[in-house]
Amino acid sequence: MALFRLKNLYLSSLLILFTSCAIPSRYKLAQQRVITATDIQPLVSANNSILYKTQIFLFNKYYTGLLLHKQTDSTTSHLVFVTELGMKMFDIEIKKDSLKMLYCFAPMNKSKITTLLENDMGQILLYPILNKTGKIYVNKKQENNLYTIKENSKRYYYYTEANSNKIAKSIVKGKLFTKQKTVYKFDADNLPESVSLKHKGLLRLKIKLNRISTDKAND
Amino acid sequence: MLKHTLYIIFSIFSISLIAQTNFKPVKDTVLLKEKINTLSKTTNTLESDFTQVKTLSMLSEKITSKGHFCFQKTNLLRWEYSSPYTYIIVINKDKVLIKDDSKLKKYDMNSNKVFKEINDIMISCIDGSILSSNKFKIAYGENDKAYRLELTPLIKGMKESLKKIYMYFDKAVTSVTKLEMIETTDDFTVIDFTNKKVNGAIPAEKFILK
Repeated sequence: MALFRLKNLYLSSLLILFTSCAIPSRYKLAQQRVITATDIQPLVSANNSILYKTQIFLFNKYYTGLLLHKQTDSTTSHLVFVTELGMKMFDIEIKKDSLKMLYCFAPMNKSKITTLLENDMGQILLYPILNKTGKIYVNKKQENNLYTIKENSKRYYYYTEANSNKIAKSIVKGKLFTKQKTVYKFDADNLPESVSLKHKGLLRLKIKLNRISTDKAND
Repeated sequence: MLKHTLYIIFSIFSISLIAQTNFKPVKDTVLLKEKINTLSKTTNTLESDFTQVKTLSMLSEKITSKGHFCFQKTNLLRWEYSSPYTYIIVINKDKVLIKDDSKLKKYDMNSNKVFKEINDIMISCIDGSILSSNKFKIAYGENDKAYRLELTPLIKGMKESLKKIYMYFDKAVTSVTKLEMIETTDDFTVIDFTNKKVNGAIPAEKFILK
């Protein structure tokens, strides 16, 4: 009896593993080419800075504050997270498509944490897919696209909203049980209103962003 | 004409900047320390509105927050932000309570080094205990309008994040009027306290979040 249960568990785990790796059957492969900003609208633009009310759950710690994205020159921008009390927690420099932690508050400044934050912030901003060669799948029924790319043993899936190039959700699958899901919501002005990221695996991280107008924070 | 007007405006602006920054060393530091000690001993409660401006120097960006704060001896603190969004943080002895979007979170102060560090600095600045702290080297300055304490962190863990803290007192040393925290990255936070109420009654519920 115990052997039967173990066998069942093993088979169902394999089934889950195979089904979770597959592209949903309603999506049909259309082409393979470089994915550009026309396919998926970038989350941030060079012209405006964006401020988000931010909640970060990192292991068993909870941090809240403001996340600012600002372009400093034609190729460089920064992502800065500041607590409500004014303490800067991190400053990530984005040069072209590469993210580098310039500053991290001492208690958080551990290589595993800084790498995790660099990768997941890059994932939120869609850097793994934009300007890379990926596969484009089309769902004619729901009228949205799925863009996929495989890089460094990770598989990336980006789903757009129906009849739009705005990102609806992204899923990243890595080694073993590492999985990351990000859900995006846009407002009437086509600006990203909220972003929610959940990172499962050995390193656990949750990021929730809710946009606030920069005017409100600068008055 | 325009050139002259611009010159006058620039001169006035420069004079006002110099007046703000021109602090000379205090001659009688013993007397100032006594005044600050008396202030911290006689201040049991403190309420104030505040405006907090965070300047991210490299990005030339300022983030302004506004709210109300309450302090009661010993170790009871409430920061209530009303702008750019509502957020309340209460420190009740060794507990940290945060109300955010009507969600309440409770933490043990000692379980989070970041909270503990920030709280220790804030409380010791407000209750004056920072003067007897061995965590800072203190220099005393004054101009005709204010006293300024320049605190330089001495201990590891704080030196990496904070370069200086400036505490400003009015000339009569009735309360802290302004706090400036300069980070090692040259970003800085300025908190201006206005509409202060010293030793007024503060309801106990202010330090309890449900």
